[in-house]
Amino acid sequence: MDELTIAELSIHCKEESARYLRHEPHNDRFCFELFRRAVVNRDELAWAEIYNHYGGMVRRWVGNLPDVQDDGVTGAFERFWRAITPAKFERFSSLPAILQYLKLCVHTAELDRRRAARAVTPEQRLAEGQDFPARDNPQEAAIQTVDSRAFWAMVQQILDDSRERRVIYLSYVLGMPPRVICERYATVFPDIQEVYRLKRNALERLKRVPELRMSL
Amino acid sequence: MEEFDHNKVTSVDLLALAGGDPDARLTAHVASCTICSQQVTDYKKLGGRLHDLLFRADCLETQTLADYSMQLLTGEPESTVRMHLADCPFCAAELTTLREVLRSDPFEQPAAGFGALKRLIARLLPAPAPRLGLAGVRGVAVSGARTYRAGDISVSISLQDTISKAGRQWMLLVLVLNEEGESIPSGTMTRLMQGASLLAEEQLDEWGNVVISDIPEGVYDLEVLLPAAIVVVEGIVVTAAL
Repeated sequence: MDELTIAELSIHCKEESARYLRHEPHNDRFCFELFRRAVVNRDELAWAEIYNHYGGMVRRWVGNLPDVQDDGVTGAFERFWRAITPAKFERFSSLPAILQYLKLCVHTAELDRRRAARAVTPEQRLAEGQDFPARDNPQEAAIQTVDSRAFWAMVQQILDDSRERRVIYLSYVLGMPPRVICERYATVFPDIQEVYRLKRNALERLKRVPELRMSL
Repeated sequence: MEEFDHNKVTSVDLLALAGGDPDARLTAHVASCTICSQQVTDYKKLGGRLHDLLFRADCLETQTLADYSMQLLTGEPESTVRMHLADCPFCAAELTTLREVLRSDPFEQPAAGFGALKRLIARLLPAPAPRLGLAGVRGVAVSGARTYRAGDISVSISLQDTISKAGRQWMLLVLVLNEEGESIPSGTMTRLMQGASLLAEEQLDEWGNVVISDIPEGVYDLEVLLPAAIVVVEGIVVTAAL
């Protein structure tokens, strides 16, 4: 296999893929080797051949998702390229597994798009009639996520009571109403009044912190 | 009704009221007490702002979920993911989606033109929502609205809370329009889904309005069943701000 050039591997890969689609006996190793050279050897020629060979397939996966931007195919490959390191590649033993991971990259991009579309747009604020800008740009949402993580780290430092931290986490990071907290975590929080008491204490503490007062 | 003793009102009581746990006598008192009313409003604003800043702040990267779904994680990274999934319904739902992807043949080509309708996920728009037709017709006090768009369809929704024997529940007011600002045909079906469960099914009226009542707290998707596609507004969180 090592003695084959990228061009030769690509030809064999196309031939074997065609055999697979005709439900004939086939050999995955040429396509798998193409991926190995692209990922492990960081061979750009191999990577270009993979893009040419599997771009149509990825386009079909992307096209099956609703409301996706035109750059969905490129985005999926870029995500795959970033995510599948040489060390991680060693965990893959077959071509179907590699392709499953490539397909997952299409869907994680879609999940990120949905997260971004909902970021900073809490529907429960509808009752208060406040408008927030729609953010369907994953990069913008990523910045917001970083800010949120930093803010959460700050909140955790301020709240030294572990039960208060837990209530704030469940209430605001995970969006659980107090009744749901008591239902899901009955052994830890059996009493809803206790949940409200812990939340009240935490909120009073958070309100007093000068650097948070600007945000709040 | 027996007069409510203002001196017995605690901040925990007011926080509970702001959080959607109604006490009839306290509710009546707060309605007439500016001090308590302001405290409830302040708690709502504070809670809302915290939710804006913190919602899913600690969630897993989607690529981490992908790695977990393919059992590529071991040791501490794997146990970190498992611990988070035990609490987080959002990441758990996303993992379910990814696992469903893994069940399919990567070479499988989707059939064109048959099968399930295309699902269009509506995006939230920044512009102020159009005034809901329902508000003028039925005299409903609409306190706020969001407008979503998918293709040439816009969906405006707002929430109204009500207190009944079953406790605090919500009413969803919906207006569906096409790009020309005209209403969708009368009788178009809308569905309120919670996960895979159908909670309510209602038809649009001739102006594109629909009201879905008696909604308990929770997270829902709204589906508008059009002839060529299903427009979906995802993740409608129905709860008080706290």
